[in-house]
Amino acid sequence: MNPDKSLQEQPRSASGATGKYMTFKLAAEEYGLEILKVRELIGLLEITRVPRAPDFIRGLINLRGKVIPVVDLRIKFGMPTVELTSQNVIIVVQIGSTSTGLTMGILVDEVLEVRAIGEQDIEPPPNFQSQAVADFILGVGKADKRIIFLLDIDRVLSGAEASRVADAIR
Amino acid sequence: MSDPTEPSPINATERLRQLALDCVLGDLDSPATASRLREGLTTVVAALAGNALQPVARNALEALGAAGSEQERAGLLHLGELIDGLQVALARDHNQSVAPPAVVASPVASSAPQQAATPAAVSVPQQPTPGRDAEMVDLLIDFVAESLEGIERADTILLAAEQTSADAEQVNALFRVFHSIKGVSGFLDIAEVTHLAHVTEALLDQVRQGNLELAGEALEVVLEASSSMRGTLEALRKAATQGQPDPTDAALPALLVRIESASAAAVRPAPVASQASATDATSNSVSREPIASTAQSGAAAGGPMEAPTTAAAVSGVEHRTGRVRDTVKVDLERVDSIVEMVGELIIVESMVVNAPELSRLATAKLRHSLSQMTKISRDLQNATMRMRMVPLGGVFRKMTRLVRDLSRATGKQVQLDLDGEGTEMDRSMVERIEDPLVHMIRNAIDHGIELPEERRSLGKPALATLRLSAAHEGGSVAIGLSDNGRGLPRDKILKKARERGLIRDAGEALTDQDVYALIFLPGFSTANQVTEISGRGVGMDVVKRSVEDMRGRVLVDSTRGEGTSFKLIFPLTLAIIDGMLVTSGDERYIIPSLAIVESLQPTSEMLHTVGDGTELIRVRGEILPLLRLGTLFSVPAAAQATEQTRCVILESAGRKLALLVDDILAQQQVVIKPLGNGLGNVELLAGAAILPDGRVGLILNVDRLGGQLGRRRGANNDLGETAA
Repeated sequence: MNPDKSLQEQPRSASGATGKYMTFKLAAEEYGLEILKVRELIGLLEITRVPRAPDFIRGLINLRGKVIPVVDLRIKFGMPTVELTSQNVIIVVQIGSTSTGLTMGILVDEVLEVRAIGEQDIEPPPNFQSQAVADFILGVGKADKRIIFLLDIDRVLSGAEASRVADAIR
Repeated sequence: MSDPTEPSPINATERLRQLALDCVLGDLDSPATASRLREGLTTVVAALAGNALQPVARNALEALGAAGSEQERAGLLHLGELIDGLQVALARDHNQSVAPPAVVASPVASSAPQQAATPAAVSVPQQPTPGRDAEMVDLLIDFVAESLEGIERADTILLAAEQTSADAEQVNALFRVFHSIKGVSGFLDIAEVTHLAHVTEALLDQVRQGNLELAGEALEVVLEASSSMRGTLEALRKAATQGQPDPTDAALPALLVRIESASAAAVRPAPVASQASATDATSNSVSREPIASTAQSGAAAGGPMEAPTTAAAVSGVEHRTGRVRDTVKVDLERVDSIVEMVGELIIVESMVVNAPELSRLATAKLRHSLSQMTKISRDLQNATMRMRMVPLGGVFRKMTRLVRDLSRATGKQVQLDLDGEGTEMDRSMVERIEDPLVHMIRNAIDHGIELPEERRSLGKPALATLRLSAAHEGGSVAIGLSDNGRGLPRDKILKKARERGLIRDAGEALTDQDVYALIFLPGFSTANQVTEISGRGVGMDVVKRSVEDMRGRVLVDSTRGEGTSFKLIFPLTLAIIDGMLVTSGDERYIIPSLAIVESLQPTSEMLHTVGDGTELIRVRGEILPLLRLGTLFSVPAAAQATEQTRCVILESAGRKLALLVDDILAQQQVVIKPLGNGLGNVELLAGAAILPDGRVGLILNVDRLGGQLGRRRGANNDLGETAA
């Protein structure tokens, strides 16, 4: 019934970045986000555009009676947008604490897998040209010769922009 | 009698406190406790040698003997009461040297007040704040809640008693209120409350026994006691939840003395005169004058006031005591979750019933079942909504008290007429409605209603009328507050608005409605001087905002010299709104029906464009500002040709505007959902809702749409800018 609960029960890894990650694809690259943040995956459904919202807010969806916003990561990361296909997935994440946190959806191109990435396989974030992206990267994970950009999803969704707009609403 | 510097009585007090606690908490059947009590009481009796209270202590000791031998619980309880009373009397005897109250025990009654200090010297014994654990705090909070309910009941009776004297049943009810407060507060060790409840109870006991009439000063002090009790309890609750020490009320000692002299004034019917004069002589600062004024204003109010107010108050009492209903206390959260789930159920139900797939294969039987389901789910929805509904009577009755106190404080004669107290509203809204109402009533009495002399010179009756009413109007609840005071002063409002920089010109072009709208702007206050009652910086803007937070509206109307009336219009509940589903391009929006005046098919002749592209529409001779939803929200593929659009006339804050949409689909009831944060500047949206097809629809915030206009017109009209 409550995916959040079962996920929360997994022991948290003691060391910072180590743990299980859900990996997904955005354009040509692979990204990962902490599995503990993920509540569920849903296929693409009708998204209601919110006029005058920031452009990276794709809109609102009806998640079993709850209205949650969906962030388009492509736009957030400044990538070109493409037509949505059946491959697109909305990852529902919980950011912040359970009581005060926000439930949000993030729109990605394709979900790949859940994999454990050990601490030894994670390198600190390199110097990015764009500071906007660098702020969101926890580290770079290596797995089977591929590299996975590990996202700090809380910062992606509640970064300076989100808190600024949240203030504006209040 | 006792010398205040002599240490023995206070030691005795401490000892007694311990004893009383033993009595309440200790295992009285155990010989150890009994002997400890006996020992303690013996010490007390010895310490009280020569004091008028010694017989009481001795009496208590004897009672203990009786209880000890018979193991009789009732006897022990009596003992507890005796010790309790003794403790209170002693503490006061020591600290204020006022005669012990007559009710403590029979021996005391015979020891008439022989000595009393002036009230100025009076102080309530400083009591160390009892350290409370979490459980005690919980008990305390429950106690406060229960006691406040009791005080509310008491107020109702007392206010009715101002009109027609209370009958025995009502006096008993009053007595019980203070009696139970005294009992529990004693247990919880809240000295201030216990004292106040005790002396008030003592006075009411005199009334109960027919030695005193509940009128004049007696009634006045009981009213003040209930008022002070309410304040103390609320402060106590606040302090307890924040873990702070119990607050003290500086005004309490004086009140205690007044209550006592009021009850002493009629201890025995025969020597009333000498008793009263003795009290007068001893407590010379206690004003006797209020009796006269009370009686006078009571008489003045007698005629016209009697009928409505008394009837209302009495019916309130009957409503409470007459028919006892079985009730279950349920956590509000659970009710809310049921309300929400039922809301979702209704939506899913309508999705299923309206599914085209279903209609293709529907048989007559299925159709029948479906319509049955629709009916049941509507009934279910109504029933769940009703769970959250409570009558407004409770809040209204509190206002009766407020009006009474305010009219005393201001010297204005005001009667409050109540109407429609049975009107029900969502519980959470009833709670939130109280503050705005208090504020509006304060304003009305402070600014609106004239002093009696002024009213007489204007040819009005000296007694002003304030009318508070509630009624269902369609799908909403309307709460009205009207006075027959001086009305809103247009010139003063304009002057103030200019001073505050809210308007720049003389404002002669503004309509009365526009001028009245100014009083709702932040920081606006027309009070010439800051009075104790209103004009403390918070103004009608706070009222407006809290009303709008509940998705309500404020309407104001006023006639110079005849009065002002406010009307608050609220939805029945916060959870569901009636909306009109409109389209723009491929998008759908919901306009709250509350804000819709009418809709019409516009023609291009009706539209006018001025200067910078501001559009206006002429509807039956009225020129209204026009907004296009498609343009406002940059909707792709929104209709441009006027003939393909529909025009919805909206009204917000007394101002009308026209909104062009592509089409009007249907009337739709929706469950309102918050948008949450992180969406950016979405002030034009009031929330989201799930539409029958499962998609999310957005609800327009009509008040903000009006603000949009103001912003655009800001350069030449400051009203709109500040209103936004």
